Amino acid sequence: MHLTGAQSLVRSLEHAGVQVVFGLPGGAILPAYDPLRGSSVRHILVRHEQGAGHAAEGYAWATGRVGVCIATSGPGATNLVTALTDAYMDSVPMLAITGQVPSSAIGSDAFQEADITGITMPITKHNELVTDPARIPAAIAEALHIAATGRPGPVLVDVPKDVLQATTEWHWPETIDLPGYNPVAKPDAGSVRDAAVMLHRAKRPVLYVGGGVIKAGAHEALRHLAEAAQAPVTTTLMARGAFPDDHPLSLGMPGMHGNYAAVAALQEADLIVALAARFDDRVTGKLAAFAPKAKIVHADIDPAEIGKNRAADVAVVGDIRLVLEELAAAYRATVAEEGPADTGAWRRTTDTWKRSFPFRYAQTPDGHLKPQYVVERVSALTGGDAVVVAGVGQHQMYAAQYLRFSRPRSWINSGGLGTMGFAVPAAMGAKVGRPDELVVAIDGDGCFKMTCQELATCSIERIPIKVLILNNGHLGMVRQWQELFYEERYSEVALGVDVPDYVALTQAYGGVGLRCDRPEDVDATLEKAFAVEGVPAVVDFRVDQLEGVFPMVPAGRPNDEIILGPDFSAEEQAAATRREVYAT
Amino acid sequence: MSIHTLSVLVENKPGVLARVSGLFRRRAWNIESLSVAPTANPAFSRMTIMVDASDQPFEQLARQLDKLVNVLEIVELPAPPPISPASTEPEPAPPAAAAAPTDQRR
Repeated sequence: MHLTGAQSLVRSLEHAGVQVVFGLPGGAILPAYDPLRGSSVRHILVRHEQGAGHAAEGYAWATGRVGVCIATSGPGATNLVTALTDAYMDSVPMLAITGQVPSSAIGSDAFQEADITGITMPITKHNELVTDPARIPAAIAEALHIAATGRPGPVLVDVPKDVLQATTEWHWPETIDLPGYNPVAKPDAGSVRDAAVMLHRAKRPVLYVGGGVIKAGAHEALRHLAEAAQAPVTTTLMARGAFPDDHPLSLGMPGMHGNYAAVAALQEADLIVALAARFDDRVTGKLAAFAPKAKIVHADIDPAEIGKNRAADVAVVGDIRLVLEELAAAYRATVAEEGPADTGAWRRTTDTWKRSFPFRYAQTPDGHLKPQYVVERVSALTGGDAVVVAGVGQHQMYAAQYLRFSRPRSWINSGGLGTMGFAVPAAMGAKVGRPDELVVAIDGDGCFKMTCQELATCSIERIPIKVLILNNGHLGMVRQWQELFYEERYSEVALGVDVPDYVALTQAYGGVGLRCDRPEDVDATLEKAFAVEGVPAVVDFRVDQLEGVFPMVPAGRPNDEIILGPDFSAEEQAAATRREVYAT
Repeated sequence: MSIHTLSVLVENKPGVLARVSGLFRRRAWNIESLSVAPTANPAFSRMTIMVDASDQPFEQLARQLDKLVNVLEIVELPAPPPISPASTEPEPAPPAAAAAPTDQRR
């Protein structure tokens, strides 16, 4: 059967089960947009290609399926670069399809030519410039396979215009031929046994859970292991929701703005079992001073993560769901041989820390509206029954701290890259992937202004996301650092709270805009926003401009130097620094 | 300096050299020398890379390299005999088999 390269491309996406693509056409990709008309693939026309990229990410985070975006050559393709880097850092399965100038023009600095495969080599899991129209189905099949398997990540397929226009035949490959790509899924039984014995012997174990646990659907296996071993669990920013926050074994989030109990437990642990986590600098603080008493079991599907930042005493390479299932079985076998382990004294210690040093802020009835209060009310009103998406900065940390997570894939954010402007387009993608769920973007005013053009997409495509702007009129996290580390010499961080008028802006984009600046109005405003149907709703929450995110470990400092913040007394800070541990 | 010599079997496709050398640059490893040639099977090439792994563990380098989709196999070759810094004479060429014991070219 003869067809064009463009038809072959669209047919390949249909055959692979792709339901949605986010994109924006242009000259070089034009041929592909003709067969998209009438295709079973739903195309969502974004207003900026970066929005397409983040929407594909949000879709992938929310569903676990590969998110697909499409752009033209040159500036269309380079506008995807931030989203591709974001997906690479956070291991998000994503396929980007870009048009390229005709083969004969490649290398001639033609109009809208950019070497996008060269540009994206270090920020994609793999990429390919397709030079033969007959290879289009195989290129798409391989790209989707690479994006979704092993450690997931973004893959880019660049297709020159003449390849899209050429006449070709369509053959879907029966097998994937990638001789250099063989991710290991099944963990080595000996390593799993060693890990189980170490966990059984540990007096002060901590399960340090990363985002891979959610990606692998391993949350139930995690709970079984944690309960069998009675080991406290900390979930990183990428893993919020992998373990219920209200579980007695939950320590909350580790790291720079994490729960004191989680930070302290890692510092005092005699064993850290790292599960699809990567010892990121935001978790470890000064690496040399991180968890000085702990032996390390490190389990990850990516062998290159083992020993990258912290040496592992036992390494387990494999799919984390299989690792956790086999580890739990091996642990039970160890208990059967050697009797039960006792983590009681350690649990009493971590429970004391949780009680003594929780997240704390003060909302007075007549004072400034606190951003933490807004997040707490979102958590209470939704009961955790929402998908929450955040941008990057203070609002992201408040959300990660004060939302009570109870299930996986209910939290989406830009973790590794820290991409401001992530929330609105990612929420749009998440809502497309999970249309029956309440999808709420908790955003900052700085972030919102970077990508709010996608509200137009949301209005016209009927994607009713909720956007809650914690508007403090500043690049808040930068302001906080200038306050703490530059003696309040504020430099270029004031954005102003009134420009733009977010209510009017939202209305101009076809959505419903609301404003709230008093604590007593928060619930009613949220309920009004949540009740909006069909179009996006945006709330401008005028929050305290000087509020800071605490606890905080200053960047590059040891985690032992955790600062509880202004809502704790000097005595409490001293007790936190002393860090009492019951004898184990 | 901690010089390691790698023999890397890769797919013989455009851009593979850029992927490999780009990875070294991105992870801040210094390539001391590099040569590439197709194997007897033209679908594959073999790269021989000498790299200074003083700053980071060599295993990290090999594992990162192995993540490239076009890389099939990585073998570490035994260290070459030391070259005297005083000598300005060109070293005699080692026998082909000794220089690259796993090379498939004959």
